[in-house]
Amino acid sequence: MSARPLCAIILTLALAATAAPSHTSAADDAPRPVEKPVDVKPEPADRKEKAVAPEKEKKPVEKGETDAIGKKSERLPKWSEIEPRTPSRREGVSLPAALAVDFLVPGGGAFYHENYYAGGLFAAAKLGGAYSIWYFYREWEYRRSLYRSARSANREIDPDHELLFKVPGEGYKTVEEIHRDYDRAAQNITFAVFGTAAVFAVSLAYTWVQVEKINEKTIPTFDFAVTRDTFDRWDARFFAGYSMRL
Amino acid sequence: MKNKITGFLAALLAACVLVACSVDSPVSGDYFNDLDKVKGGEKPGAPTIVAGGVTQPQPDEIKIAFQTESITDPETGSNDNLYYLIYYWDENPATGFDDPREYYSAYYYLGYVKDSDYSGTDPKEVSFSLNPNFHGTLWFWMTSYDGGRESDHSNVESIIIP
Repeated sequence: MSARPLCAIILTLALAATAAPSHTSAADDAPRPVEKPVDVKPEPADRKEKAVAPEKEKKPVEKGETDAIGKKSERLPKWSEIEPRTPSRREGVSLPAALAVDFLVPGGGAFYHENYYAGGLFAAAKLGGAYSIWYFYREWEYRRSLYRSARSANREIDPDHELLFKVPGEGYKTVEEIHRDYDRAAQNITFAVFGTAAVFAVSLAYTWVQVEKINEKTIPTFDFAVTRDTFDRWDARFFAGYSMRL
Repeated sequence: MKNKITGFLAALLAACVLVACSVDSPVSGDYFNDLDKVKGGEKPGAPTIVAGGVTQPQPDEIKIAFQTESITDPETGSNDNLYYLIYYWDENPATGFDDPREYYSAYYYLGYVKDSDYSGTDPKEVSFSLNPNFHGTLWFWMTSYDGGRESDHSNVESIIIP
């Protein structure tokens, strides 16, 4: 072998030796280039166990420690660490039952959903309305009896003259005037019926609205959070949390 | 809170019951078929027109003479408190009225005199002015009134105004 090939071999070996990293040199402390982060996608729950092998699971960065890019971090839960939660629920109110109670019991609808002020008000209004119907009906019966008696008496006593009859507590009145009082009593019954019906309608509507408001809050509510540890372009960590109703 | 509402409703119900007790019960069919409940009680008797005419030679006044001694108010036994009402029409009411009640209609009412306005005996007279341009026949009739009931109408007297 000539000297020239031998020198080439020796030179090649020398260059190879200098290129290899040295484990004992100061270069070990130099920061390493950041690895491209793995695209974190939520995996189905049934594949959760296969996603990370226990032997390869990386040690999470503890609070106060320095991570791969030299920044101190707080420990954040991984997406794989999210635990399933049961949705929160509130107890609802049966709308048909509330309306039935409200119709049958004075103020019952408001009492049913524990609104006692409104229940007392509607109870008083409904009781007052029902009483007014009964009161005006009794008065209408009384006025009718007066008119029939006066008309009959006028025909028998003096059919050619308009007589004046003494109405208890009201002085003397002709048959025509007594008839007018009779008509007015009938009118009062009509007004009482319409007024009471309006009170019932308002109470039913109020109960409906209140029950709907209560039942809106009974929809199951899920609260969960998703985190992302690193980004490739900047050192940022964020926490995203949101609630979802189904 | 519930006790307050219960107390309020109980007070309301009690008030309603008390008010309800003030409503009178219906009366019977013959309740008013009682002269004690009729103003004036029995009706008085009707006066009698004895004569009627116009003044001469100028017919500017009409005079009517009537009698009242035979009539009384049944409640008082006299005619001191009676009023005598005068009606008239330019048609004969015997043929012109379809309803007897029209004799007492305010449409034909002319005026009244009181028995206390007269001090003498019958016949009593009443006069009233006449439009001198009117010519024709007028019919007159009278009733008596005790403050409550009116009597039947008197005889009808016709007066010719030339």
